[in-house]
Amino acid sequence: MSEVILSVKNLSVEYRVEEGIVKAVNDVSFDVKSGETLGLVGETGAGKTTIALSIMGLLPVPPAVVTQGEILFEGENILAANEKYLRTLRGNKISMIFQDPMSALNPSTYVGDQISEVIMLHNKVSKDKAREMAEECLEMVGIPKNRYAEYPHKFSGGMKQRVIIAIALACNPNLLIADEPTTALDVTIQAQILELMEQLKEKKGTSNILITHDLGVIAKMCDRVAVIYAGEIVEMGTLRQVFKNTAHPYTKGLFDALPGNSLSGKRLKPIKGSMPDPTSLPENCKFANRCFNKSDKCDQRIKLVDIGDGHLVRCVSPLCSEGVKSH
Amino acid sequence: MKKYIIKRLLWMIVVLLGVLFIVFVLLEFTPGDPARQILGVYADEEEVAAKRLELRLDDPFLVRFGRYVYNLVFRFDLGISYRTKLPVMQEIATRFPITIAIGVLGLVVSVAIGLVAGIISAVKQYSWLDKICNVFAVIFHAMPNFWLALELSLIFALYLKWLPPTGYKGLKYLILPVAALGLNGSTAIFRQVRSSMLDVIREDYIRTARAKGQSEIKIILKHELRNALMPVVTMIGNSLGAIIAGSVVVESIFSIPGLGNYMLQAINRRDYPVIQGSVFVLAFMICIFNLLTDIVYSFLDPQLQSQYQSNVKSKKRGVKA
Repeated sequence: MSEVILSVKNLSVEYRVEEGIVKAVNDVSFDVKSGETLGLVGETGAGKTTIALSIMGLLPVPPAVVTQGEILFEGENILAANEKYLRTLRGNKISMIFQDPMSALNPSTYVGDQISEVIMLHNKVSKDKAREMAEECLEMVGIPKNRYAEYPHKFSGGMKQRVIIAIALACNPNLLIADEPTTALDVTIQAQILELMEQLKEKKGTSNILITHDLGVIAKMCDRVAVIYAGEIVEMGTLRQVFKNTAHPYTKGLFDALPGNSLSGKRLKPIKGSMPDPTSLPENCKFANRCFNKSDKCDQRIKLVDIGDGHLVRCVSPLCSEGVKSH
Repeated sequence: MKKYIIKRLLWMIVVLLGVLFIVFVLLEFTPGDPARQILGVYADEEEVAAKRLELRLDDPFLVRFGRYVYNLVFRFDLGISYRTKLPVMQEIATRFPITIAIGVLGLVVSVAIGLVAGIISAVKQYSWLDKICNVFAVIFHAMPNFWLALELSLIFALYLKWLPPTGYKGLKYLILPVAALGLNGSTAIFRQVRSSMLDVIREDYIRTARAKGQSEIKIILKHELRNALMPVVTMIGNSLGAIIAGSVVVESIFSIPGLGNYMLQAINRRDYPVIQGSVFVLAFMICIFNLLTDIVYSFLDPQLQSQYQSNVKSKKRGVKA
């Protein structure tokens, strides 16, 4: 449980586009230990997907540029590795599930062949053996194997996402990155897919990075959570630390904005304002102009500090410290 | 799928009858008397009248049309050329292979150039390669193919003397006509391949393929090309008409004794059976190629394939109910 399999250190990524330099990820560091699920939560445009694509080595270059940092996977720096080595990792040791299952499968290839493709890429097996293994993968995600030779348009969204999970897990990866795996699905299917992911994680012992903006999903699935705002980690800790001893005003804002947390009949409490323009991020606290707890101290560069037991917060006046309950 | 093809073949008969009818009507309204054309300006009225009777030109329009169709269907006979007095079917049979060769080779050349250049352009978008391909595409697209044919003949036959300028005595004589047709046709295919490849490259399933660890070249061949080809195939099907029309022009420039040239001469000489026969054969060819296009299309797009099947099935059910 303690072995670190992925270590992201001081990662910064920019997109250099005509409108200027978009600072998508700023000095992000985190570790993923073997067998755990780390949740990355944040609103749209916070830089979650960019982090995931950096780990896969799939950033669109250009316009993306990694300006600093390293990503260590099994001791190798992914950012400095050559394409050939990365190809042996992708789909094999690191897999990714994408947001929209509707468009993530090739429409002109049998779903089964799309699974055996990844098996044949990373294992020296015959076509027939690969087909057999792919059929097992289909059954593993709850699809009868006689649907191997069918095209994606005959599958529903939830079924497609199951196929994508089968593709991602076909080679028993050490790390699975799930980028909003349930966002495009309706609620009942969402629950099924999450259940399936949890089962498979327990069965295979895969470490997961789960990217979402849904705190409910985080609560159900994750061991640790990193809250991301404007390309920075603003709070990181165990599920209990972040959910029970919420220390950053932004995280608190997220919880307050949940419908379940305000009494019925009362208005929702959204976080006022919107994220700062990523082409001109302020040097001081990036959340300051939306923060209810703002003071003069906020007008400076703020570091991520440990408020006890590894609970990290990027705030000069955290709402609580570890061991002292604020609510 | 089999039922779909049979249905399409039945429709083809209707289309061909329609084409023949239109040609008949057009020729009916064309000024000039074929009998006079055959006998020359010095023949007297009685001779012309006798010729008209011999050719049965005085029968009512629909009777002549009916007779023509009857002969075509039951005797496989397209009539006799007014000028050479030989059966049109036989004359077409000797010329048809040359036109087919030029058309098919022209198509092959245009598809080959269009595909390769289109893929390179899309994969290396905005690179100098892409820019060069685009510039050439605009140049060749802007050139009418008769002018391109003349230029090619000027450069390679007259100045460089590498290739024969006119006539047909073997494959060497086909190089210039095929090049003229192919270069002209390739530009449209190039642009279609490039734009549909650019669409597909941005698709999510390409990212999925990358996330599997697939190599770039295989992503292009296995995932991108097949999906990008669908609109291209439709376009190739549509451009066949243009290629066949182009072959008429190109054949007459290079004096190649093909069907197009034959038809052009027949039009100038009011050789009605030859005009009707050639148009019929060309229309038949285009119909067949269109059908082939649709069949290829259904193999590329599985969604269509199941549509054909369900279409036939649902119609069947409808009949039973």
